[in-house]
Amino acid sequence: MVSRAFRLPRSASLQSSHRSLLFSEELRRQQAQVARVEKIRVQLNRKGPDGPETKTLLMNRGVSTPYNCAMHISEWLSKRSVVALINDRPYHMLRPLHADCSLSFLNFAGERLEEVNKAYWRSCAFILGAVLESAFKDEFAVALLRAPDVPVISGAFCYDVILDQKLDNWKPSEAQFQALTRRAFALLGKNLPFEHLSLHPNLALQMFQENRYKQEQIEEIASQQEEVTVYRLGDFVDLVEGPLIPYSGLCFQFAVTAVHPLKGKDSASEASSATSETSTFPAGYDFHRFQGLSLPVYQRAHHVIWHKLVKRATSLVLESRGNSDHAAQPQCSDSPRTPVLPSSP
Amino acid sequence: MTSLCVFLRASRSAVCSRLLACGTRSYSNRPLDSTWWDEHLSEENNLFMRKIVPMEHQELLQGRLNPLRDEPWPLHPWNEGSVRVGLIAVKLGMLPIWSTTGERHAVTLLQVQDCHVMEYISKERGKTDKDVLVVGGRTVSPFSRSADQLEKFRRAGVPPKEKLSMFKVSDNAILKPGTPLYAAHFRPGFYVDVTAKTIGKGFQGVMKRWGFSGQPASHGHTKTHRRPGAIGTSGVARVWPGKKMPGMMGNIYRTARGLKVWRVNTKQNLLYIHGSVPGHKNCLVKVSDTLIFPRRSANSNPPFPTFFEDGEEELPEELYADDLFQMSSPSLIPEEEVEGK
Repeated sequence: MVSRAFRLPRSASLQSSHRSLLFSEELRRQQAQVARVEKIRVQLNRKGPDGPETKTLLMNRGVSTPYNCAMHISEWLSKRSVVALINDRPYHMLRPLHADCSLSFLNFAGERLEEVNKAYWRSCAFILGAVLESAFKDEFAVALLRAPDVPVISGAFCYDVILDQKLDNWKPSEAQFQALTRRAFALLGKNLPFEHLSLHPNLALQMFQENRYKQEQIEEIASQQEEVTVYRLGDFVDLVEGPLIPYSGLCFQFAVTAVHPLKGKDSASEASSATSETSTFPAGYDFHRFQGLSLPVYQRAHHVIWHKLVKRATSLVLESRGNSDHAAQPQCSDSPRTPVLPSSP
Repeated sequence: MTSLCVFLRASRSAVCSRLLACGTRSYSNRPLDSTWWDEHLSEENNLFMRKIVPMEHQELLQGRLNPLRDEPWPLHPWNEGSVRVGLIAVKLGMLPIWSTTGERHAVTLLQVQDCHVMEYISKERGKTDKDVLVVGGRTVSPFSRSADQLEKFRRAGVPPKEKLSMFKVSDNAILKPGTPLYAAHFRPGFYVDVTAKTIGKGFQGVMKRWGFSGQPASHGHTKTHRRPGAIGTSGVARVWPGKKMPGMMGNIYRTARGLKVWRVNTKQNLLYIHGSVPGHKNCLVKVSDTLIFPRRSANSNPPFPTFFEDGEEELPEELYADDLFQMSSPSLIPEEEVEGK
């Protein structure tokens, strides 16, 4: 039942630069389509010093991003905002606007923290994926599977990866986890933007031609939507659903904490709760779940608290079946300001 | 100490530490983007941390009483010339005591709180002529210690300590890191040296600092009543290095030597030490066997290398020196009547 028959792909660095090249070409093509700059009206709602206020900004269609709108107000707003709300729906900060809309900003200490938490966790998983693709030597095949959607409260973000058979019994040491963490910090230190791109599914399939698991996911998305969303950080391009944070420099503390080998569909359905929903684990693949922990620059933890959280992030995180943010944890419904520590023993 | 020592100590770091000790809350080494530990924690998490940290410390301390005794390091008997480890204690205050001959003395009360051996530095590693044991006293919050320091405490298996002191010990007196030290390490009748930082007086003038006599208050002395007066002779035509002058007074380490232990309470870990001891109430002091030669014979046959709570020795709660008058005993003992008087 376990199928491991994928051909040895090109080295990870070649793959990612191929994807990045296609990304740049498509981005240039889409930008060239904006021949004549048209104006759109953006209604910016924010809480000013004298209470809630509305400003109308005249921005450029297809060119201006919510980040540019924030720049018109203040640097503080542009640096602090994590996710934009366009017509009350979460929107990536560096994604161009195409029509008249209402805009507001979410940061780490305001309202609608679930959206902020999700975006942050997704971005951290993205960074973990970027690290994993380039971390292994060329002789070991690495195929990125997906970043499962886990809530912040579960204690760690994950990225599922299918590793070479030679690494079946690999138990990384402390030093090896630190090496992975150091690679992540190299990305964070450069403070790179998360660039957004909406693609036609065919182009997306071409981009991920080396990775048939990603191709399966693209086909699944394409059956429901017209376009496929990809993001790029530096050289690494990946499929993501939902907005990410604007810049990698927003992550302050980062650690790759654990790796758990997991079985494919059959044993996964035993592990997860007994519901009739289709299992989100891919059929028949044995994969490794890498887990990590991160805290943003505006919510830094003291090293004592950080070590406690890291210890918790080593235990296996499984996706819950229901609504991810209100999974079976009896936590207070007010959004926590930081990942909540486990309740007292 | 001599004025030469004061001059040598007048380096920048010493001055900074004295200034900081005089009540300022500025932390000159702290990075600008640092934060306090509960800045971004919710109320719930704050309470959780406040509860869990002392609980974890208690577990570490209780762990000493578990039935599984791990391999202790080999114990050697005491001999003339052995040097034992000392303790770190907290100065609680002073009280009067009376000797059996009716003399009143003042004693300082020291309590040994959470004292453990932290580390053993052999002569080869430390490149010295004697083995060194690092001892820690009184548990402190982990939030005030850096990650590297906490790692050291974790390796010793004890909660983080407020003060660490080094004791030079002889070869037969080394202890395993993590060994707890108790007040019964000293017995009544022993003599100890107590080292601590003296109470800081701040920047003081020459009369208070060096005991100069100043000048008269009246009879024509203009604006000169507490000044040092002349600071040199015309011969040398300069000021001698180390000249006694106004400056920072106190907040320096001093040792009171040859102090008798009058009484030991084994349950509360209290030591009743003769006389006064440098430092303010609730400060941490370093207590060790005395180096004063005439008193060393009183320290013979001590608990060696230290007192072990789970050992064979069963001690009563209070131990008194022979010449300490115990208030429970009668003060006048009637002499027996001689027959035929």
